[in-house]
Amino acid sequence: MSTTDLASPPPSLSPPPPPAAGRRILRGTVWLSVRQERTPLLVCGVVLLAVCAWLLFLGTRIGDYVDTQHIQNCNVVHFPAECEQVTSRAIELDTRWLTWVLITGWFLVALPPALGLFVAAPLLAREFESGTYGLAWTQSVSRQRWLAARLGVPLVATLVGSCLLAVVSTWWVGQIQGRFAVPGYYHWFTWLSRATSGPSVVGFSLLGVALGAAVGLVVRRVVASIVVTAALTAVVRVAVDASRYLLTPTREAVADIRMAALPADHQLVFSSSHLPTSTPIESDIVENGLLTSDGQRIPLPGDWLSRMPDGTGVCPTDECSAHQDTIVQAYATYHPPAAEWAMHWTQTGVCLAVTALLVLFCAFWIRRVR
Amino acid sequence: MNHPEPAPHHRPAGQSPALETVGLGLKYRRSWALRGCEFRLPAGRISALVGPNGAGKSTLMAVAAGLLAPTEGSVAVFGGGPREPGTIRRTAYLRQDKPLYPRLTVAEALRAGRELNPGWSQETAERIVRHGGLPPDARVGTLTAGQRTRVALALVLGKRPDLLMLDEPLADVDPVARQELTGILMAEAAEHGTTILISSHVLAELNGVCDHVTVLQDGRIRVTGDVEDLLDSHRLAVGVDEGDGLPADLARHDIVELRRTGRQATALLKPAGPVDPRWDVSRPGLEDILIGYLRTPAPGAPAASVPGPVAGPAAVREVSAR
Repeated sequence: MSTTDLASPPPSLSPPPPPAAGRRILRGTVWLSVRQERTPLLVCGVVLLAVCAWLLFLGTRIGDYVDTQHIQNCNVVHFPAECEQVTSRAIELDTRWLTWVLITGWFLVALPPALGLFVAAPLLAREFESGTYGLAWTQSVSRQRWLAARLGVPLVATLVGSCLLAVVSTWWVGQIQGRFAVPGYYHWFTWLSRATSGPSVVGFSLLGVALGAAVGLVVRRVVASIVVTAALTAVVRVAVDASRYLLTPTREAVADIRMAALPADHQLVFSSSHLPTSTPIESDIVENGLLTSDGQRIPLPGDWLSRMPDGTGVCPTDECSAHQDTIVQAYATYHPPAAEWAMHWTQTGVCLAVTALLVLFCAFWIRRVR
Repeated sequence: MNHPEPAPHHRPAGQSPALETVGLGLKYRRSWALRGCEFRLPAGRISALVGPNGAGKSTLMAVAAGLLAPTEGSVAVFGGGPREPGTIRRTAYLRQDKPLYPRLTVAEALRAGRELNPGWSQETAERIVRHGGLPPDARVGTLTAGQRTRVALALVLGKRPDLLMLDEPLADVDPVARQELTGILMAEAAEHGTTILISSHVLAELNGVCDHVTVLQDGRIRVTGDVEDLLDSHRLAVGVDEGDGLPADLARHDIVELRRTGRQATALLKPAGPVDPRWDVSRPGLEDILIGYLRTPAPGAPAASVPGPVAGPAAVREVSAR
């Protein structure tokens, strides 16, 4: 660094030749945004690769065990008759990997909200807290363009990363579903399964980032943004969850049944069985109940029914007993397993819609930040 | 983002002032930070903005830089709104706390300036940084306050603005660097015809540098104008006066400030004709005038936005002889 050129006046007003033109793939606000988020991007990338590697490892080990022990169709949820001999092997698998599956599942569920809390919430809030927003907004680019890069870079990175995670995670959930006594992973519709597989992974991740960034823009304090984002994430996730069957209305199955009140003679031997409504296996049952001849619905607490020796059902509730003579059918409303992907795409669609609204909100809000 | 030519700024000669506010007011939650500001900074001036802490200096600059939106009134920079794309290219604003991205290196900070500004002068920016001996690969967050000031100045000067607003820019640099940086500022201003608005506490460092000055007090403009005009229109009068209130001999002049030390009274005034010969009249320095205004509380009545006369008992101050 010589000092001889210090004294000389600037040679000309022509700009310096673009340094290493080949390296300047990123330009302007995008370059700045990538540079500012370099550390989070690297950390998230490493975490993503580590998680994928772990999922592949764990899933492969479990798959190998299932194959070598020939328990493909036998798991802890569903036991057809041919699985009688292999019960111990299925349970052995459960106890061997249960803890790891549990931890991994919770980690997968926590990833999108964590992204929102610890990467997205400080994204804009830190700019306000340290005053660097004033630096950016007094350069030659508009606030909107700056915001576009500030949100665009993390959103695109999240899109790419979560797509990779979604593929690996969906495969892994398929490997472990029903094989472990982890409550959320029993069925395709239980909440750990539905939050960590399919396009929902992408939807929840993008939603987390957009929500965190929007909160940061409004709250303008890092810690407060994280707290508010946490609360709002919980609310929004519950709302998205509640709308997951928006596009797939429940189906109904009915079957004839005869009911009787609990007989005075308790010596009778009862047997128990499912309601005769033949819902497909692995259906998400919404409601079970009985129908009277005049169309009244009498919900039942479960789909197990005690029966008298002649097959007549025994009313488990007072309401049922009151109408026992007019009950003609049993019904079940349910979502068939075929609804799984429609459910995922609905969740994803709602998430993406909320994400788009949040981005629009940011673009509107940044105009009126003073 | 590098344009083949630095975008030539079409500056209609002598048309729009660099900065003009009309009835400008800005209200934070409860209180007014600025109220009724009528301020006109002609292009090409080096202007000083002085006033006590909380007077509204930073707020005025932030409004002009488009960071804050006025509650009432209007502000125009070269005739345009502060947030218009054409305007933000022409202004540069260095905040008092000199925000910089702490994790970027010095070289990256300058690259950020280059990426975001079409008229960027890497030459200018690098010269300022190099003068301070800053290693280009040092992280901005590890620099001293003075070194950060240098990087921040490199950023605003590299932008090649037409209006440069500096809020207490040299408060934390050492005297040698202060002189050097002031020299660079003035050279840039002279070479490119940059208008500079600079706020400072150090009145002495404004002397001989500025040709325009504004005193802000309690969100209102006490006095504003060219330095020469201020020097011409003010006088210091020293005399003996036993009284309590305003000396009768001076009653017809606009007295900015009256100070008494025992029997001797010193008045800063705007003469409305010849001053009584019993008073010893001299031409004040810029510092005398500024201090005179700064020490005197603004008159209670609203809208002291008109530069000039402050009279009445409010302007009288007793100075205890220590």
